[in-house]
Amino acid sequence: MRNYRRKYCKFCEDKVEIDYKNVVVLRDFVTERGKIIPRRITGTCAKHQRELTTAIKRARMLALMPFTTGGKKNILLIKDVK
Amino acid sequence: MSQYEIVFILADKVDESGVKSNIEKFKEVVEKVDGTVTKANNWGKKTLAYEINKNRKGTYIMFEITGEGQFVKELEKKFRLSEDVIRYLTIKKKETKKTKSKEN
Repeated sequence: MRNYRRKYCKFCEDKVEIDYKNVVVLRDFVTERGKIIPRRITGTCAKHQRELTTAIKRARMLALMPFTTGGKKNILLIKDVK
Repeated sequence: MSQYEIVFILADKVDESGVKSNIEKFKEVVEKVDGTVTKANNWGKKTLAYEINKNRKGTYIMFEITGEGQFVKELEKKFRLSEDVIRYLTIKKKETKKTKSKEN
């Protein structure tokens, strides 16, 4: 018996549109560090994963999402806040 | 005719009147060539996810343009020359099957 929740493609089931402007949706498919999560983990279908990656990359170009978090500059910023 | 989406970010130092004049300036560039700006959205000042040319904030402007695409080259040239624009992105919108068959 399977006792885990079945994975499904969020975009096929819920008809959510993939858009680089809609960062709230894209955030779910990215790790805390900003890396794109593989579809074997999220359960997204191949077609939508392809669209998703381009959307995330576009959002990164426009500084709506980070390429990566951490690094020297961000550490300096945290110090400034303190 | 195709649909285009152009988003560009203005530097932090640009004030409100500067934003307005920039929008007008770039609109003119598009209309001079062949495109028509159907929508010009101002998303307001947002915090950038990372620093761009020492800017931590920027004003996002989005143009929706219909045209044959010759304006893209001209507009991007103007973006690169402008000191206020720190980033831009041009996207040609995908034609859905329905709209494509209508055109044919």
